[in-house]
Order: sequence, then structure tokens, then C-alpha cells
Amino acid sequence: MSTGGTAGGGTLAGTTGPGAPLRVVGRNMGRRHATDRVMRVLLGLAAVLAVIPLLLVVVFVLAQGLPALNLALLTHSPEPAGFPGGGVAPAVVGTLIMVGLGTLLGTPIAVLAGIYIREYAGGRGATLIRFLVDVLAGIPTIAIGLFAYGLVVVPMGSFSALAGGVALAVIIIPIVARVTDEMLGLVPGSVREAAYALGIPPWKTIVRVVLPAAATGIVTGILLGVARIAGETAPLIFTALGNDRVSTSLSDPMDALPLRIWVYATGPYDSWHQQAWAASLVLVLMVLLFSILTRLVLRRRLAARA
Amino acid sequence: MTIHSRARWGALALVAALGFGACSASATQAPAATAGAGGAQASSAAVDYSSVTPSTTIGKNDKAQVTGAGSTAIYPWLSAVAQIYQQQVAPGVAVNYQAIGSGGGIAQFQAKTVDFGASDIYLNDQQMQQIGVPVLNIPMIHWAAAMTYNLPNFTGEVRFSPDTIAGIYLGKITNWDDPALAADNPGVKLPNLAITVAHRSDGSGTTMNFTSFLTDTSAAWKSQVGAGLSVNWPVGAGGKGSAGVTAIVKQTPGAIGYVELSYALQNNLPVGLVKNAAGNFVKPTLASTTDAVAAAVPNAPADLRFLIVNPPASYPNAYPIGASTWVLLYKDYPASKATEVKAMIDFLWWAIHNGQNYAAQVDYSAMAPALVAKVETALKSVTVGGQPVLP
Repeated sequence: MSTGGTAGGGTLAGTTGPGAPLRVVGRNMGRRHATDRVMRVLLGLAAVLAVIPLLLVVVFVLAQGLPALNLALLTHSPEPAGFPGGGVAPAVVGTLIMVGLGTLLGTPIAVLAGIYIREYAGGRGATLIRFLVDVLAGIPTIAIGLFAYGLVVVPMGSFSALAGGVALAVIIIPIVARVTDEMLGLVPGSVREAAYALGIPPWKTIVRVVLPAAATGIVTGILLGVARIAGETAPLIFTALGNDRVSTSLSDPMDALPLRIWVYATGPYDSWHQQAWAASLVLVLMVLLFSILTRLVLRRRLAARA
Repeated sequence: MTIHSRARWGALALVAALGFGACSASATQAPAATAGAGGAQASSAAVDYSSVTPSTTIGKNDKAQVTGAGSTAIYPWLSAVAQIYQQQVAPGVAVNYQAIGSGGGIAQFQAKTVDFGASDIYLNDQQMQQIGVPVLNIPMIHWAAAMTYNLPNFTGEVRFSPDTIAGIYLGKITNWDDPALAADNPGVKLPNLAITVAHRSDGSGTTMNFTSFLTDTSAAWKSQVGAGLSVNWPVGAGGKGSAGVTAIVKQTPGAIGYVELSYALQNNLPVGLVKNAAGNFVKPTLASTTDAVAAAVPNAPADLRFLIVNPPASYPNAYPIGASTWVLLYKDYPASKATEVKAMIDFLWWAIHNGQNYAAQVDYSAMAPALVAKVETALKSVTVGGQPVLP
């Protein structure tokens, strides 16, 4: 403890100018610098380790998926099991439709819920709802699939794209609600107060002042949610079921890329395994392309407004 | 329908040539050796379905999506005939079949979430009662449960008598150089290698047929284990699905397992010969499986719930561990589903006639000709809103 105090004084002395205790402090400093360096290296290594899986996944998916990636994969329906050729067009179409449906169903509820938590719910109420939303976010998605099966599939008497969309909506809701909540919290209170001072009612303040200020963050949250549900397999197994043909009917079974990848990767045919890799690449590229496009549009819009 | 009228092949060949020209053409040019109902050559290629009245009650412009789910075994054939049917017969009819496994197919059929289910074993009485409405078990296609093994540096064929298989799966025979195996394989030197037994860990129609065969042929197996979708295995390691069993066999020298024949053929696994009731060691092939079907049909009950294991000695070329896949239908569908049901029954009618010609393409055995008439009767009993679907 006492050496710590001396060291603190020494640092000050060391930066302000030469002094008698410098040599003693210098030895101490050397040890602290060494510790600092070791810890820096360790943290840096951890950061590298955290990024390595991403690099490996990208490299693997590219290496395995590129050879089987071609236009036919995107435009053709699957051939019968075990026959070569064919593509995953129903899965591409289905993923677009069901992710769109899930986002459309879930996002409005989530954003409104986030606004309520941050702007209207009192301290204890907000804590409770936040906790419940976090619990929903933590529920395994396979259980959410079962829930949608009981809620939509059984009463309708049919597997359907609608059921898949509902399951995906339930998954995206907590993600977007929490992000909306956090982003609204980042808008300074003084901005709200300035609006109130001008006689603007709270609801108008939220719609015209607070939400635009938080828009970028909220949209980023929605993007994260979309990317997340685009890759979900488990909730679609008992809801969308899968389909070997392109189908756009919401009341019939529909295919999805993660579902198709799962079936193909665990199937017995080599042609399936190759297409599973290619489909993985398509899925990764779709999510990437979508998030880049949205960011570009968003940036242009914000720039236009400014 | 009759085996004799080969002249009518031409009409069918016209249809079939569009999809699999080579196969049907060779069959027309070189008629197969004349063979009786029990003959080994009476496989799919020799059956003539052209005298069957085309059932197309579906108009060219009718649109319908039919959903089915279940057995993985039937998937290669069903997805192939569904595509050919859409391309050549009814462009607006999409039959969507998802291979979620026999257990899943039965469960979804019971939950009434699919138009039809498919299972490698028919529904038992209790399952039929649970559904609450009359249901039909329609056999569609046949296959064999093949014995596969991993014997490094051994290139010959291993022969198994039923008692030997029972002994291995009971844990009594533990080495490949056991005298019982030597007696089955005279003149063949099997290695001194411990046997690792592989079986299915999941509920499986393949297990049902395999254990039924052992129950029929081995008193020890009958008293100690019995037959079922999954049984209390005395020894061995479990694998999920045919793929899981294959993985164990491939990775373990000395391992033995049972898988569907098509799976073994597509993955280049060795398959053993199994001794049938006539005393012949028979290799699992499409023809030897069709023989097993032919043997079982005369005694098949009207509800079509029957196994094709252990055929009688009067069928000397029949493979003894045959298996079937059933399509599960409700006897009556609600009137609101009329379009889908019409499309589905029409497709199934096509599948039990013309569709059987594609069975060999995906390593499955076609329905025995004698069975087709019984299946026709069953399909004709399906109603929608109380009205028969087929004339």
C-alpha cells in the first residue's frame, strides 16, 4: 500500500522533472511498465482470438462454398434427393419472405415497447419490463419454434410461412426493444427539456425530436435483429417445415436457407454437402449485403436531412 | 397390370423416356427373361402398368400444394416421382415432401398438420385409435435392411444365418473367427477380430423390420429381446439414423450394423448375404426384395398392415429382411381441402403405377404387381366431405 503511494508521487515527480526519488521510483516504474506490457499483450491476444473464428468461418465458407456457387444455385429448385444439379431458389425466396415477415411483425411492436420502457414506464416498471424482455431474449429459439407450432401450426392445421414469420418475430422483438430502449437513453435529457420549454407535448417530442436523434442506433439494432433471424434454423423446423418448390403462399410450407443448409449438411449425398456450403455462402453474403445497403441508405438520408 | 402384356410397354416408354429414357428403352428392346411371380427377375422393369386407366381427375390448370412429411427412406423416390409428376402430368400440382423421420411423420399425421404422413412401419392399433378418425396405411415402396460391416483387408462376401445374426446382436458371438460364422462361410477365412455391434439409437422402421426378422427366426431373440421400433439392446453402440450407424461401422474395424440397402449402395458399403427360409444365402438386391414382397402379398390383410420379413421357403430367391414404407392417409378429408386431396390422391394413384418404374433409379424395389390391386382399392376408399375422390 505504502509503496503504491510512493509510486504515485514518483510518477508525478517523473513527469514534472528530475528529483531525488526518481531512481527508486524508476525501478518501481519498470515493474509496472512490464506488468502493463504483459497485460496489454494478453488482452491483445484475447482480441485476436475473438476475431479468429470470424476469419476462419469466412475463409472456410468461401473456400468450400465458392466452387459450388453459380447462377443455377440461385435460380433452380432442388432436384430429387440424390440427383445432381438443382439449386436452392425456394430457400432464397423463402428466407427473404419470412425474414421480411418476421421483421414487419416484430419491429413495430419492439420499437413501441422500447419507447414505452424508456419514456413512459416508471423506474420500477421499467426495470421489470426490461428484465422480462431480457428473459424473452434468453429463451432458446427452439422453444420459440415449438410455441409458434402450438400457436399457429396446430390451429391452422398446416405448416406455413406465417408460422415461421411469427416465430422469427418473437425472436426479433426483445433484440430491437432493448436496443430502442438503450438508444433513447442516449438522447440527452436537455434535448427533451428544450422541446418541452417550447411548449411541445411529450408525444410530439418523442416522435419529432427524440426518435430522429436515436434513429441511427435503432436502425442498427433492427439490422442486428434481421441478421440474427436470417440465420435461425431451429424455430423454422416445426413452423415453415421446408419446401422443395418456390412458394410465395403464406399459408403453405416454405423453405429457408438455414433450414436447407441443415437438411443438406446432415444428408447422405455429396452433392448436398457442396450445396450446403454454397448456400451458407449465399446466406452470409445476403446478410452482409443487406446491412451494407441499409447503412448506405441511412447515411444518405441523414445527410439529406442535415 | 399384367406381367404378360409386354407389348403395351411402348405407351409407358413414351412417358418414361422423357425422364429416364435409357432405363425404359433397354427394358423394351430386351424383354427380361420370363420369370414367374417368385422369380428373381420380376423386378420393377418387367411390370406393365400401361393398361391402367389414367386417373387424371386433375385438370391441367388446377393448382394445389400438397404437404407430406415423414420417413427418410422413401424421400429419394417420393421427391423424384413428385417432380416427374409435376413436369409430365399436372404442372400446377406441387407435392412437397419433407423427410423429418418416420416418428416425426406419425406425430405430425396425428396432429393433423400435414396432408399425408409417411412411415417405415404401419400404425399400430393404439396409434390408430389415438388419431380418433379412420386412417389408411398404404404401402408405397419396398427396400431391404442390409447387413453391413467393416473388415479391413477382407474383400469377400460374408454370409450370415439368422441364428448367427441373433448371436452377434445378443452378445454371444463376439469375434469374427467364431465357429458359427465359420460354419456360415465355408472356405472363407474370417479374421480374428472383435465384433462391435452397431444399432439405431432412434425409433426406426429399419429396427422394427430387423428385430421382427430375428424374432421370427430365433427363439432366443424372441424370448430375450423381441421386436419393436426401438428395443432393449443387449450389446452394442447406438447411431442416429442410417448415417449414424454407418459412421460407427466405418470408423470401427470389426463393426457390424444394419442400414437401408439404398444407403449402403450409395455409400459403397459392403453388404452381407443372409440365409432365408429356403436355406439360400441371398444378397439384398432390388429383385430379391420384390420377391419378398410377392411372398407376403397373398397373405396380406385388407388393411395392408403387413411385414415382408422371413418369406416362406417357396420363394427361394427372396431376401429375408425386407421392409416397406407406408403413406398414411385419413379416410375422410374435410370438404375445404377438396382441391389438395384430389391432387394428392391423383398423385398417389400415379405413384403406385407409373411412379413404380422410377424405384430402381433410386435403389428401391417396386411394389409387387399383386399388391397394386389391393392398394388401388384402399386409395379408392378415400373420401373428401363424404364423397369418393376416385371414380
